[in-house]
Amino acid sequence: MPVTLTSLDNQEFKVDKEVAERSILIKNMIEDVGESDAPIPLPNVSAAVLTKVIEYCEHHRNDPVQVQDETDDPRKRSNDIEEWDMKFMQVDQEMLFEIILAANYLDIKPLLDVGCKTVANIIKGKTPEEIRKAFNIVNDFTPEEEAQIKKENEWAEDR
Amino acid sequence: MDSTPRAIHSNRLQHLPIEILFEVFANVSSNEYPVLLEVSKAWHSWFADRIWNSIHVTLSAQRQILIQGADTGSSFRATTSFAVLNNLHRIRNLRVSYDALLVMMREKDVWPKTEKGEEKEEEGEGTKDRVGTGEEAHMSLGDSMAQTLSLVEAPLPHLEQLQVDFNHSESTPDKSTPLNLGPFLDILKRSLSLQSLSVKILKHCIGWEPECQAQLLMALPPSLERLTLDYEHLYPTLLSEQVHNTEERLAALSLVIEGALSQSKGRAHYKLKSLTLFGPRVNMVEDLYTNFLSKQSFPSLDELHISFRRKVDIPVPLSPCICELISKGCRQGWKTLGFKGRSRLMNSSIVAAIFDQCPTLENFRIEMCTEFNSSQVQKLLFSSPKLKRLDVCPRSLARNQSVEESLMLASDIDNDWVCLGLESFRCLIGGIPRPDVRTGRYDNEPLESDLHVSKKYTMQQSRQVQEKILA
Repeated sequence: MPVTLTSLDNQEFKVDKEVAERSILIKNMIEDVGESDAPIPLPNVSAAVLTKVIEYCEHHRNDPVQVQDETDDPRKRSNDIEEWDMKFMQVDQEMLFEIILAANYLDIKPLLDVGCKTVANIIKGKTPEEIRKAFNIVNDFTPEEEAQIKKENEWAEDR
Repeated sequence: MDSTPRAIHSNRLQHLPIEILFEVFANVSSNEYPVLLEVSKAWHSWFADRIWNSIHVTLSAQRQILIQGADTGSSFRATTSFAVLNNLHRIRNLRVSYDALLVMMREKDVWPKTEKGEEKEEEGEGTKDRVGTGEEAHMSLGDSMAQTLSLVEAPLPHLEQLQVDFNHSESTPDKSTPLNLGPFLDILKRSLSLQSLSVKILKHCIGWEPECQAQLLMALPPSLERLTLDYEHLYPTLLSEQVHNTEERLAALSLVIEGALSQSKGRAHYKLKSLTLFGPRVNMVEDLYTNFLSKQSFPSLDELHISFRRKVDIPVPLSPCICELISKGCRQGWKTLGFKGRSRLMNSSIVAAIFDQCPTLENFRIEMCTEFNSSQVQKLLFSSPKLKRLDVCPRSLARNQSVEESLMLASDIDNDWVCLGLESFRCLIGGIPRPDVRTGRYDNEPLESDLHVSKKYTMQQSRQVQEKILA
């Protein structure tokens, strides 16, 4: 039985229940309300983002449910992203952050993880200046502060 | 620090909720954290705590010398200390060699002027700072502490584990001068949540005297739960030389300690639970017992571990000291005892002292102690009604098939009994009630008539008793 989702900009999306329930938020809502034809409003997600999120959920509709314990320990989790997910995440930064926020709101842990890993991959191996550039961050240190932090860091980097 | 970014452009990364940001950064290896610190003020404020909190900071003299040899030279050494000192309040796990700590504390003052040649000067100061004995030492120690305090007095709320390796050496060893512990005591004083403290005296450290131990014990932070004193490498000749003037010294020391304790009633060590001694020395153990344990300075202390790593014969006077520590060191009775030694640690009086603790004993570990034989293991099992865990690592356990077989039995009776194989012979025994060998009663009830608990505990009998009780 399909479920209807309504985006922030009032677009309606019909998706399989199985797909919609990738989102723990929606799953809980359906459980609470019971079988109903009424559309589920998602006032925090725009149509463009919801399209992407549904695309992800469609692709991963048959994935086993993640075990909570394994994801809790950051050392245990792998940094690898599946090829499909990698391609899926090739979007502009604004969309990337929107997807992350939506995944957080909708409680889709695997999607949130993929999003976070994607951002982490942007950070990896970059210098502070490159990171600032990549994320449009203003360097608000005074030259003295920057010099002091650089000095402190000499040690940490050598470690 | 200013945590609101003064971004001109829309900055979506910074708009993510902080918990998501940390999700992101959990995927960045900690090697890259220092880079993140340099991005912006907001990032610095997010990461400084996290980074220093998560790493194990090890600052050793050897390492410093190594770095000095490299191109970076002494300025690197200076910034190293500076970084650690500046972030001391963020560190959770710190291991530091003492002379690195001394240099670090002083460099706070001189940074960033520190250049080559500074170290020589430091050494000179160090010698000057080291002071006489007894009360005089106490006073000048206070002075040097006050001096250090004026440099850094912020509390260290995150420090949980601290290991200090005392490695200080001098060209002209003068055994009558105790070490200047000022900076070390200062760190203890500022630590609000220190849980585990390990003090290791290295081979080249000269001047670690009972006075130092006493100062340390008096300065322990109230939050401390585990204390390890490692005297394994303490300068060997001290042992023989000091045995002669021990009594005189201890008497003088007692006076100093009593005076100090009456002045500072405030510091109660209600949390100290576990004490570990590596290679304990006669004078240290005596001081520990006479001035602290016998006075109930640590009311929660119920765990004692004594280990000898090296193959040395235990000096004759040490054995009665250890006996005293076991039999009278814990008024309510030790709950956990552990012994390890290649040397002849166990003699009959120590074994007897251990058996006196059986009524309260919950955990017992014995490793490589030849004198603790299998029948004694049996007796211990039988006489310790509260025993939960017994680790026997019997590489040199006197060979006696029967005890091994009877303990092996455990595995086929109940899951609570786990024997991890004969190889390591570690027996974990969970809450199995045992009859008392002395009274022949179980749980204060006499045993059924067909069960007799004899002193000789055979394999068959053990099976019988265990099956009866477990059924």
